[in-house]
Amino acid sequence: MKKLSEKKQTEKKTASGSEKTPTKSSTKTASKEKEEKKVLRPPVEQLYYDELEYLASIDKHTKPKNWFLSPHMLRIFVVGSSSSDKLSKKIEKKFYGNPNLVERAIVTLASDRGLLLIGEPGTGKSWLAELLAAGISRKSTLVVQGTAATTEDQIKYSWNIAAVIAKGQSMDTMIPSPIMTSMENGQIGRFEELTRCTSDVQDSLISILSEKYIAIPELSDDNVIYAQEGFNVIATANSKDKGVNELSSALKRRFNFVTIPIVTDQKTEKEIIEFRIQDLMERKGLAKKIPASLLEILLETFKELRDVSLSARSDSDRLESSLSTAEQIGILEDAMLQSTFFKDVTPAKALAQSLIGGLTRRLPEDLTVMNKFWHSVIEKNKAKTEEWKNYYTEGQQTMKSFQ
Amino acid sequence: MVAEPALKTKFEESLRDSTVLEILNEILQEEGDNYQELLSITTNDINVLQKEKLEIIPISHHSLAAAIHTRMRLAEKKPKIIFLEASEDFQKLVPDLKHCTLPVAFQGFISKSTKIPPERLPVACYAVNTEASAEYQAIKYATENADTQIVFVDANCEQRIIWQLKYKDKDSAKEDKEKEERNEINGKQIHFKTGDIYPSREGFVNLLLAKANVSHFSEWWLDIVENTLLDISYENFRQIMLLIGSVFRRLGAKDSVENITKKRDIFMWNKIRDVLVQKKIQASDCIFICGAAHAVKMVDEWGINGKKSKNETTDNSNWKYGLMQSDFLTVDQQFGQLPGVTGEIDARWNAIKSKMYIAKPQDPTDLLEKYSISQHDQLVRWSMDIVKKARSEGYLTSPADSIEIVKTTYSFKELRNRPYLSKLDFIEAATTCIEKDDPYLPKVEDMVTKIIFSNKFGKVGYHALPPLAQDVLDRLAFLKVPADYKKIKRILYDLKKEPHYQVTSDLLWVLKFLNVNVTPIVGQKKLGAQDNQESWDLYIYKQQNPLIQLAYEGITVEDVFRNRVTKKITQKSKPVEVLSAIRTVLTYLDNDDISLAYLTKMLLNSTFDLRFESPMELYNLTIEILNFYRTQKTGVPHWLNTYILTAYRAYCQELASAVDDSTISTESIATIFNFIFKVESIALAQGASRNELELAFILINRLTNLPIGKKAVVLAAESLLKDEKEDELKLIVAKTFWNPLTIQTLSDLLAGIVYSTNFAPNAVNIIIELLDQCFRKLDDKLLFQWMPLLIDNFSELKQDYIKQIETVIKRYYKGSIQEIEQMDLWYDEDYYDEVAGKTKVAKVQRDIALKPSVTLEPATELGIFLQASPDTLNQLASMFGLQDWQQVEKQAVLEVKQNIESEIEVEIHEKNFLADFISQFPDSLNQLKISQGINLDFLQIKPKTKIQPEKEEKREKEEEKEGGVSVLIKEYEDTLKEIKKIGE
Repeated sequence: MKKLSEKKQTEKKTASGSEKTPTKSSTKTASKEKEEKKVLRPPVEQLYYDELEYLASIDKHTKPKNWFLSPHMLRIFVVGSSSSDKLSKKIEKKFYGNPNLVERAIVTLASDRGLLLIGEPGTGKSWLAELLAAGISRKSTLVVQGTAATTEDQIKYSWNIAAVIAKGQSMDTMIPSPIMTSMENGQIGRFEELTRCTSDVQDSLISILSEKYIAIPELSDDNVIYAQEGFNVIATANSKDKGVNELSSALKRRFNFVTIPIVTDQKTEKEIIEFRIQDLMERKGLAKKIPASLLEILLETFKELRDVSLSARSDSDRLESSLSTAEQIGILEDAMLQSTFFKDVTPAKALAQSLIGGLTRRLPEDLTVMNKFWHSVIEKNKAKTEEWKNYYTEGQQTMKSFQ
Repeated sequence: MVAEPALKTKFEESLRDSTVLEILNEILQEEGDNYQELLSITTNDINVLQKEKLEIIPISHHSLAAAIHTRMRLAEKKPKIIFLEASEDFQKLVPDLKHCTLPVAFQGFISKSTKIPPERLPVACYAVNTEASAEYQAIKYATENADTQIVFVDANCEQRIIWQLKYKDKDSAKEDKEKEERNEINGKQIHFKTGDIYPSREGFVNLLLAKANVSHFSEWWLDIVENTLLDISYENFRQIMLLIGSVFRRLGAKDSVENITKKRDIFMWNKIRDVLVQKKIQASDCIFICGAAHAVKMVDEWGINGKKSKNETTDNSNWKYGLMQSDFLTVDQQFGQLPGVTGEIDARWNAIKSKMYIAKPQDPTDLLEKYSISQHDQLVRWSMDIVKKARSEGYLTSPADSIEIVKTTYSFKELRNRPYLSKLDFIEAATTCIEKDDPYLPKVEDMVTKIIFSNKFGKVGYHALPPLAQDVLDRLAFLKVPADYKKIKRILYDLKKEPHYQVTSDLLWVLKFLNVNVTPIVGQKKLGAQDNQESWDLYIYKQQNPLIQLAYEGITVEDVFRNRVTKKITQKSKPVEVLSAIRTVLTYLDNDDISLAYLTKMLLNSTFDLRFESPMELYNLTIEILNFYRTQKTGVPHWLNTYILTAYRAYCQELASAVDDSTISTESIATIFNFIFKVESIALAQGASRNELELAFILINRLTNLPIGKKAVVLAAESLLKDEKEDELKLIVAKTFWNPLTIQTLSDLLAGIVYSTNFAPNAVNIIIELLDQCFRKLDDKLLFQWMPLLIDNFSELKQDYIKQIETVIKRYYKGSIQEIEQMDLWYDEDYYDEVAGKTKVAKVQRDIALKPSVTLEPATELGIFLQASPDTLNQLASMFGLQDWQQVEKQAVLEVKQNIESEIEVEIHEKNFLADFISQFPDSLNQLKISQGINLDFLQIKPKTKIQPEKEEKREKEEEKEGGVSVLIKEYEDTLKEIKKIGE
């Protein structure tokens, strides 16, 4: 049985193999050689190729069938190594949430159940899913993106119409979905934003998760694709629009839920922001360090904004934004790019502009909240440093331009 | 890295790879500025410990390993004195421990102190005892062996609180405040933790957790440290504990905490030296058991040969001590452990306990392994239990989940390298497999905790209880509750059949009042009234603490009761407060002379100020107490008579100003009158005069502009003195009724009269008359308009009054509707018409109001438009067959003129009356709508309001297009038909 997906798989493998090591550390040198071929955002398994190889080489723990790393090593891969792990190479921390959550996710993937990561936007659900998929199957790109327009075909399989007309229906003319591919190969399939899909589409996952096969009634023989060991599904769902398409209880039963909270611990948050911004800047070829004072202003502003949101009585008294860490990263990246490319824009100005621009989404509600916040909270910090002062005045200017 | 062996060489070969040492070493490397220096300091700490003449056992609280090592070492060494890190003032409670079932806590309590600021009082200090702990094992050994004494060497509770207050930093002060708010009722609680080693610096804890790859300090201790410590020799145990203490104290302590720790170090060593000198015992014959942190030499006073200094002490004579009940989950909470840790340690201890108390114990690790094997079966059982429990709580769980949970627990065990099946893993596995994202269901973690951690409650034995608690138990002794009873006891009795239960009942009600946990299931107690049958749930055998706590306030419950009731009452108390205290005493202690003597004195000293009193409450209380005494053989006591006289006079004097005061409601005024009339006989008998009241009325009658409600109350009250006032009230009612300008206030008036019925029962008749008239005389059209307002105002009346009205109405309207028609009225029906006749204006106005279609207001814009275009009007009229409208109009105008007479000036447009008429149609239509239920919502134009400019524009445009009037006619065709109907 020759399968399309397998073909693709092998092709890809050799391709990535010949390129060898597009890892983070070596991307810089590689990129100089082939400037035009540089990928904007390589998948995790390529980004951390070295680490994965290293961990696999020293892995002595028992692993579930078809897993690239054992659960133990996978945990280290995701949350980073500590000296008690006695590794000769330091493994970077990649996910900054509670390590217990990661453990729960890993253990779930080793079981018969799918993993559903739930959290507000920007909490790192997809990032964790990617890391886990990369660590288990060395492939994190078998993704179905759930939208209101997702159909069952995209979860199971569809047909290459031209090929069907020419050759008739067969395994060769079938286009397997990423989920089906992952079943065949015993890999992790990912399903992003599961709750965005309509309920009937969601429910097509039930049989995949419980019977672990997909039948293809169009074919007369050889018409069942069985999941190989190692197959599992990581789905993510946004807790903000939980109500859009609530999962059916039958599907709920087949998933273990892991809720990822918003990081509110300032220290961890700072680490995440620094890690991500560094990464983003390097990717753009801008090795620029985050000015410490700027980061402090941003963190402080967000902390206060969250307090305001918490104490707000109604939705119109709080910003629409969930004020997640991802939001901060976006704002800071924006500000840093602005101040790098436009020399006349001071960092404080850039930050104030992108913060207000980024968080003011509904007019006039968000602007009102922001205005009030600026006058009651930011004004107090004005006296602290010159940068705070600039930040305050620039913020006011920005808000004026809105009105 | 080079110096790594230096730390490890201190330990035996087998220990050198120990995870604990590894982690500590890493912390030293990462946290300190100079690793080498730190390393030599810590290794030196071990040397110092080894060289110290007095043998020190560094322990940690609730540590199984520490308990085992301590127990074994004590049995081996047989020391003459055991010094223990525990507050010296708790020592006196040690003998009582033998009467108790663990866990119980030592408690010190203080409510008055010169050294502690009053806002921190009352404050209670606790030190908990559980069996699986080194500290309790030491106490137990000393009580069992006569040759060994135990001496508590830490500073007393008061001194420790003083230190805490002195060295507190801002963070912990803030934290404390939050905690205090939660504990407002019981006062502040401070927990002294013998052997506390938890690092106070947050950053350090995080580092430790990160290094150890665990998420909670308890997890680190339970799974990593305990396992290392169990397996090793006593000497190695000491060294590792000391190393932990040394690293934690040198790197992990906040300055604020470290300052206190140093003070305590000094205190303990000074005290140890004193005791040794006093008892003439060699230090080498003794053992000092203290937390690992105290085993590190940080002060000069440390050690038998340390510097001598004078101890700071305080006089603590105000402190009261006792043993309190405790339980495992509370202990976990108090010590900041994960829930279940204490229970877990206790379970492990129980597995080996029987072997431990034999002289030469077996190897504890072997015993523990057996314990862990049996845990698999338990795990399976728990998984089934939690699935069942979750299902009953609303989760959609099935047996498949049980299987998943067991599998997941094992996966966790493997992932986390656990030697035992961990309960913590089980909790997480259950949460992973069962919990979905439904925020309304109970948390799985809470359910699991309840299932797997069988919480154990301790019990304070009878002999260890304070006198008050013993007294209560003695008085309930006839219930024959066994000494070790730990459940809720339910009792049931019938006071009529078993009058001897009255004493029990009285006791229980007092306990209930004092918030001791007894709950009445059946039965109520009010002043002078009690149900015959009573049933109680007594929690005092299950939860002893509230009762024990009570003992700090007095010798008997009655004592405490008196104190609590009288404490609040001072010279400045308001009469209401004093009266309510008196009522409480009378309810619960009957005629208790001791408290009543004080309270009545305070009552007679209190001053009346109507503005600050709630007349309702005062009235109710006085009447309640008065009624109670009236039923007693003793009769109304002198103090009550005197108080009533004072109150009567005060009210009479203040009456006029109260009526005039707009902040005092009509209802309150009625209550004051009610009070005055209710107690009048007593007041008059005591020497008051009715002139006082009459004088008040004279003053009130001088007042002008009284709200109609208050006026009604005053008149109703005055009618009790003078009959003619009732007629006056009636007249007011009639006038209000017939005058369209005042009819809106009818319900206020009605409310006033209703309030008055409490003291002037005749007023009820007026209500009936009024309501009856309303429904008889008022035209339906009018009545329907006012009905909502009436109903609205009525609904604001208290339910009581509505009921009162209902009963009165029933009294007269007994039968069916037919009977109502034929009923003979007791009052003069024409009276109202007579009143109406006197006020012609009112009558005419009413008639006009009844025919609101004939409005006489100036023309609207539409009217003007129609007037200005006679052709349109003619066309309009002919449209619905009113060709001779001009004639009809003339007649109509004449008719209206006749009706209105000359008293009211009305401008009537003789010409184009129809135009005006039509233009006013919305008003008429509204009437139609109300009276005939025709749906005319599509017309919303109001008279007198300007037509919106854009509407006008629109209209003009349309007129241009289709010849104006025809559009209008089309648009209002239906309306015009309706108008025609009215015209007919």
